[in-house]
Amino acid sequence: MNDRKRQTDGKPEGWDRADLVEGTSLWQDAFRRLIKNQAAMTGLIIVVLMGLAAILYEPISMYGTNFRLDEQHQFISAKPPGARSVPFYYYDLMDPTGEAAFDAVDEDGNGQITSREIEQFYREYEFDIIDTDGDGKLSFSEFVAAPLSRPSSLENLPSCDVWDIKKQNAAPLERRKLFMCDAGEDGYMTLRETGDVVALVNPSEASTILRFLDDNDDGALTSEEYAGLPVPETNWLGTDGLGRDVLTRLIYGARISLAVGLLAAFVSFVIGVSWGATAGFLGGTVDNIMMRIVDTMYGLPFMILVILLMSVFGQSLLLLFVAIGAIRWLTMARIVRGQVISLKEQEFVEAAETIGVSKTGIIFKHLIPNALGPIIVYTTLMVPSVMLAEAFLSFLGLGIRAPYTSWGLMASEGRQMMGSAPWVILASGGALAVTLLSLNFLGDGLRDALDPQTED
Amino acid sequence: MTRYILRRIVSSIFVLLVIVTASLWLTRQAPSNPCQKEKEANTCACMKTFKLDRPTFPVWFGQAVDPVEGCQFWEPESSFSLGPINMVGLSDWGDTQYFLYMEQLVQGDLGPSMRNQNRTVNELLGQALPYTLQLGFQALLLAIIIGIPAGMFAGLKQNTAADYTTMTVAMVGVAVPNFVLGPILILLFAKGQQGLGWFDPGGWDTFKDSILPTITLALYYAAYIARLTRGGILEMVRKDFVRTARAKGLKESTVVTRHTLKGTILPVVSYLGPAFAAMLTGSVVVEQIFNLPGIGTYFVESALNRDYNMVIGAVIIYSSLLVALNFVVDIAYTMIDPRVDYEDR
Amino acid sequence: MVGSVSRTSSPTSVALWGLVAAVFLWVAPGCDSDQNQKSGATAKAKGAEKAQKNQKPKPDTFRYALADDPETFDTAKMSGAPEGRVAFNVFEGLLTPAQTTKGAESTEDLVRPGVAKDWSVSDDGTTYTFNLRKDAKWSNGEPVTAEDFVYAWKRVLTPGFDADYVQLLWVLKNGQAYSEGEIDDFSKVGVEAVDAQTLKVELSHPTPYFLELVAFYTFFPQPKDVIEEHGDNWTDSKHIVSNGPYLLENYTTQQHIKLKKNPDYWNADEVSIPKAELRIIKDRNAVVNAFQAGDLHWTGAGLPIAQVSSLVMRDDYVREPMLGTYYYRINVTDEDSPLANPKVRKALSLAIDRRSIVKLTMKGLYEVPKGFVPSNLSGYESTAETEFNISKAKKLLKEAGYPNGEGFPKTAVLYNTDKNHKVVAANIQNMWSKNLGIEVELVNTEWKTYLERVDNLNYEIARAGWIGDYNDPMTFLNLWVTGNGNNDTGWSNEEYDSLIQEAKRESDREKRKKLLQKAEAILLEEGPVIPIYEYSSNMLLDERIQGFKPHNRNIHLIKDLSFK
Repeated sequence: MNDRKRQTDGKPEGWDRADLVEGTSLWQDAFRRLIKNQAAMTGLIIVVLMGLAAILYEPISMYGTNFRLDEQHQFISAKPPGARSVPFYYYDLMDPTGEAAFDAVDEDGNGQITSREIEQFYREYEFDIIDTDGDGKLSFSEFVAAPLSRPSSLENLPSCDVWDIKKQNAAPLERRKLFMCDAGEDGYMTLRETGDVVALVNPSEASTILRFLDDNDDGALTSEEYAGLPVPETNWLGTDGLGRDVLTRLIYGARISLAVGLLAAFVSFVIGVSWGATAGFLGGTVDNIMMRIVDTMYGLPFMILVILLMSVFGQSLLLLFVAIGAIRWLTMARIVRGQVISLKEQEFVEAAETIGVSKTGIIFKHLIPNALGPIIVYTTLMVPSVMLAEAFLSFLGLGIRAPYTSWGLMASEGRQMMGSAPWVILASGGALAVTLLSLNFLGDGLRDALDPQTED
Repeated sequence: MTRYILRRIVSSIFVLLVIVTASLWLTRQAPSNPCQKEKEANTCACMKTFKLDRPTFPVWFGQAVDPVEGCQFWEPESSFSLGPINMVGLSDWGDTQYFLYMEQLVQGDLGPSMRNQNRTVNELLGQALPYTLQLGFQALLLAIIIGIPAGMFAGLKQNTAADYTTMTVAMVGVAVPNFVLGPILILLFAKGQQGLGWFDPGGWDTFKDSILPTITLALYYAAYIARLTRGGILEMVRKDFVRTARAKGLKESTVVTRHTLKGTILPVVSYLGPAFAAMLTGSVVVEQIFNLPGIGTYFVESALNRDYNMVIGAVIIYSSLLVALNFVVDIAYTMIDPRVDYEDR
Repeated sequence: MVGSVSRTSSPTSVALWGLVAAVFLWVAPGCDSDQNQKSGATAKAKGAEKAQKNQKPKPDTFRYALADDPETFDTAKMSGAPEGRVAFNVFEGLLTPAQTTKGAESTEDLVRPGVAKDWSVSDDGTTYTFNLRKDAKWSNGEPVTAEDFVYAWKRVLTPGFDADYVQLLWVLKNGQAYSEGEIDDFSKVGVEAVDAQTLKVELSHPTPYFLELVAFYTFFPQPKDVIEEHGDNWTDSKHIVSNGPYLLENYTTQQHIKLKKNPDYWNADEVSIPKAELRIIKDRNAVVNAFQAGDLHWTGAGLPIAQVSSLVMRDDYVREPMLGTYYYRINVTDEDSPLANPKVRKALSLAIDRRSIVKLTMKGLYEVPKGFVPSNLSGYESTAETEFNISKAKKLLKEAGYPNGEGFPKTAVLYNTDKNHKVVAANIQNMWSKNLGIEVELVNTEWKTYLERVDNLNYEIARAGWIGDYNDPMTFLNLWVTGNGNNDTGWSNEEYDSLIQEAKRESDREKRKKLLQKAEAILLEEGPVIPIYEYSSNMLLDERIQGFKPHNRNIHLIKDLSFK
């Protein structure tokens, strides 16, 4: 490795001419320039919003999306965006005097609600929403337009003899079969015939809801016990193959992805800064040896070793942080070393030495703060690359494991059902891309702001 | 120069040695071994065949290997303890797994695959390597072909709409991970999916099958190279000699090719080493997505299957490629840029 | 940044590009010079085939997916499904597997003649005589003789030979003794070539499923001269000599295995498809993608669970029963754990609603189990049945000293990383906590780690699956005999062991069945197993394919298939 190369590696131009501008005005100046940079500010805002969402996952999942991370609505798989499910945990009950009045739910009118009646009620509820013209019959176009989940198996489909709809070749392939049963007249589907196609809850979910309301545990609800049924909520980004709300998982994934990004970046920051500053400050043989080690390590296929490490030991979140962090510190060490070498010749270091400040003190109190600009920029640019590394590992099944999830893991799951449920990979990949884009813009903006050279 | 090259060769060999030792140690730390099977039979025989009943290194802590019920295991002729550390006696050192492996390795033999019986790692990886290499080089070439012109274009038209458009596209390219891009490309362009149906969704039989994987792998680097090139151009056009050249009334194209290109190319050349390294890692995922018969697929799978020889073999191949490429790039660099003082280091 | 480089001149520019090019040339040819040519050649051939395929007449190549590279082509050593997919087409045993249908009462219905044109069995069921057909030939022109079988079986039984399925040959008289090195005179083992066309086999005890065993690849003949000449390399495509309806043409790891019709096969006239290509695709989604792209005619093994709900709608979707049980096993060796108590184990089993798991969670892809032996096994039906009965479960748990789960320690369920296993485990976790008040935590590990923990009894409850090797309850029930290497629960029951031993010696089919049913009842009553569902195979099959008969071990011979 040679000197030229060392300076150009992963480091924006202009840094080797150390920016020795007077402290405060440099920072104010930089801040002013950053504010003016629209791309960087947009990036900053997006990153902050993502961070907030990640921190506030619990309240958001409780009051916003109404679903939780691991809540499976298994009866019907992968629902498209806009479909509905009945949340398990936070029962926001419908008005027991309105639509979901006791008598409306109690179909057979015997004064008791059973779990079958609950299932049936949700079927009607969903049917009414899908039946947009309100004529009590489902036409082909209404059926196709509805964000219905795909029927989960043949048994859940209405059988051909009750199916009375004209063959429609224009229907999407997987739904066409429904309409191929009968080649007769224009047909409609009534509620009875839709069967489980419009079901919102499966029998076990229905009985869970029943148990929740059933105070005396007799397996049926009387009008005294009845307080309304849980409100079905919309899955704004659809659900994944296990019926879990994609938006909720995306928010939780933000938590993991950002946490990995920040923590691993922090690990490499600590190692890189200490290493580089020490080498640069001590100089001579120590510097030579330390940087030779860095040069040698540059030649290691680190990601390959991390893959090996994760596949051998697996599962440990801490190991993931450290492993990713430990591979990104090399460039940081080089940058810091370069900065420190050019800075330590300056008078203020001599002054500090004269008044007897210890070497550690000089490194950490004087040199590093003065080298902070490039370090901040590089760290900002390191976070997205670390997030990418995590996503990469998770995608291979070597990173985050259930019950946690991250964007990389979601993308991996999304790929499994790309054909039938493309929204999963689009949502997770999109979130990842937007965040990486924002962080990159922010990093570029910071670099431009901190390096006056670039602004001619 | 010769001294520099020699020094680089020695340090490369050292790096490889470290990697082999580390990966050998790592694989042996796994909580299971290649002889574990669902329908259990011949575990002992398998352990013996692959010599897994020996200590891994000349020094080991506590017991040599996890005993498997009913198996007779290798016993050292002599061993001694230094406090908590057990040493294999000198007469047995040659019998440790590490020595046996190194002995093979020196002869260029990566040993038998522990999963595909009767097949050697050399044979299997030999079949897989051309695909990985071809994919990597195609992607690198594509990245350069797209990246450098795009970067120059943007750089020369600095602060115009063309510049912003190119650079925004490049930024997006940097932000979309290849494991998202790959499936989306399949969805859009592969047969049997909703899209255009131009390509096969996986496998590699013809050159055409390599197009989607190559694009998937190359996009990130094309974007990165474009950014580097643009930066280089901006730096160069400010230089006095370029201004002079322009002032002399040379054609713009001459100015660009003769005067700024080389300065622009340097950072790109030095990026090629790391880029190729990252591409090798990236190809692990791309190979999986497109079901390509390359090394990456073997690597991850054999790591999970505890096929020790295969894993270490793959790591050695990856590392050698990387080390060799870094070496070539550095030499290239010293030759292009006469200011580099290689004797110094 | 890189500073000014002095005067640029074109020679240096050329040098620069030359160097960049050198990087490519230097690394590339060093490693792949002749490989590249090879793959180029196959690429061309493949391209030509593809062109043919697009013309839409009858395809001449049957393409299907293999889930993995076969570990070996040596029939004596192999164990596993991808290996079988090759072996059954490239080699042929005395008998050939036939379709498995519910009606088949005895093993005679499960096999067809292969190299043997007919056979006879002695009255006590221990001596079989096979008459080999004269026109059965190896691909090098040599006839297939009884000696080839004796040689192959001897090879498998040789002590120290790494044959995974050696235990199947222990049914031969003195087979076990020879393979364990107790006797070294092979002539004492119950197999004898009376003459070139007659093979006489003596068994250690009556084995009603022996005919099906003989149709299995471990019992296939092997070409002695070729093996002795090339040693372990005899299965290389340039050396291999085989006797099946197809010949191994070419094998490229991770890519494909190409087969072509064997013109010298004794029944070659009946073989309709001239070529086959087994494409090795590990990712199940990629298999479906390839099928949808028209690259495959059959997906082979299972479909990805995530996509199944949309795939079952297709006209080319096929489901067949599978001889396998998905179950939970319990480690009974920890005396301090409640799991050592049979009542607790029974309660855990009773508290599982299998119907809801199968119908709802698994989207109806599998079957609700009756006992531990799958119900699609012909000629046997379980008398003991799994049931879902919460009150009985609660009662048993109370008797065991844990009323409503009070005082029951937190228990871990181990499974290997897989979506299916996870969903099932989460479901069962929910049922046990809801129905019994028992708290369960889920632990997942990688496959090999999982195997190690199960092997070393380092678990409390673990997910497991068992695919039978032949259509007889013995392949399921023999597992739980004390000391069986695959028992892995530490469970041991004297009565059970003696019932199985008795069944092994019994030659009367009805009596034998009764004994096995009794044993299975014991297993389910206090045993360490909780059956969850019966496997079935879900596949996509090109609608132009004819002759695809259901088989409960997913054995399908290409020679039976044809294109419409």
